[in-house]
Amino acid sequence: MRFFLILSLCCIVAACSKPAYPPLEQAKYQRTLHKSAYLAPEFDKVLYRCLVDGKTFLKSYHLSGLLLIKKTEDDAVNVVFQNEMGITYFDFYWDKNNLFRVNQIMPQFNKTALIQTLRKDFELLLRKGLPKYANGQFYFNGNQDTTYLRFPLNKGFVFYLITQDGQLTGIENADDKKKVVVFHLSPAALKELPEHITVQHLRANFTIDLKKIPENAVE
Amino acid sequence: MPVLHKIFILLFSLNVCFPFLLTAQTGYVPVKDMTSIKAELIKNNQATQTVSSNFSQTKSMKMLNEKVVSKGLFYYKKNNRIRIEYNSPFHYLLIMNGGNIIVQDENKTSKVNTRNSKSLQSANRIMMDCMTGNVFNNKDFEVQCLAGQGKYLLQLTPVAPSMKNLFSRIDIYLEQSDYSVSRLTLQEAGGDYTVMDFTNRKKNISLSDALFSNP
Repeated sequence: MRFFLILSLCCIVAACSKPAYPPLEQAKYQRTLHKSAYLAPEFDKVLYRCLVDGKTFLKSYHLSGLLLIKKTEDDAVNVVFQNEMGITYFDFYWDKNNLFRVNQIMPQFNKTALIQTLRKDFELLLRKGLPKYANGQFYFNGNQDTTYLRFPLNKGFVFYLITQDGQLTGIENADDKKKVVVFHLSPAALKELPEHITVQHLRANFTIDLKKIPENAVE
Repeated sequence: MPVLHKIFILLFSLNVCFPFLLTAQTGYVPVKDMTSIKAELIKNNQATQTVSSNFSQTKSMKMLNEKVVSKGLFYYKKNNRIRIEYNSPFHYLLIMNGGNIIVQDENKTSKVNTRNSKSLQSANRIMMDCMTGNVFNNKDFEVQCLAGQGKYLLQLTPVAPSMKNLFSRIDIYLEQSDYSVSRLTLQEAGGDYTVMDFTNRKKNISLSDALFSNP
């Protein structure tokens, strides 16, 4: 009996919990945004200073290094994270058809859940594996300065936050109840990768901070 | 402190401590009797109070045909104190002082006591071994010594499984003239490698203790 009372209470609390977003308001339809291909960034190679901070039940952790994102001649993309001494933490690869492969990974990183989490981060950032068309353009709270462009995902959906002058300022991945991952971006044109990116994993409780390094560091 | 971070510091220490490693290279021939070299290394390190140098680090990525270059400053002071300071293309600072390791990147500073960590103690021991010329006794690596072009080349091949996962070999180049480390090459199992070149090397100059304390 006590069990059912607790269970009922949990259900009521869950039912009353605040949704991830306020009620949707249909935005003015912009044809220039409705295809995911319009959002794909164009780049040859970009180098970021990368800092990772997180917490578990027992302790905090911190990692740092360099993150290289490079497009190869055959339109494939590599994402390589290495420490300051040049030791590779991981090397992820997407071929031209967006098929994913792990080229190299340090044993301590080689966990399926972690790989899938990081893979999703980079796919959202690089706009890989999105459906061909968005399934909605919205405003929230009457704020018409930012359009929330929504694409459905296998689990949940993703919003790309785009200002009226076409700058991407954020990416938000959520399910029906909660936000899962939030990207804070320094404003950048849709075809560019931002100078500064902060990726907050709200459930996994870690943050990735990326700051672009001038091109002359890569030869 | 996460395991990965510890491993990173261990790797970092290995890099700094074993700059004698190189693979079979043209102009280098195996040294059959290493006794005199070992003795000279110990003698030299006993006489070395401080070391300072610039370094240039180039990471070569085989599959991507890319090179990432970093630069900075290296300091050593007896006993067991090291400071590695990256200035370009980012700021990053690593200080090893006795049983403590301090890491600073951006505005974040982390301090770790190695007393509760075998891997970090191991890193510290490796550092000490290197500075005292005792690298030949490390059981995690097989050490070969070659000579040529005015240098000794110490090739460290990992035998411990944990090291084998990370490196195929570490090469340390020592100048025959003063036994200073002039180059370090770190080869990863996947084919990528990192080269650190140490230039403007100075021994036994005055170095403030503040260089090796909490920034």
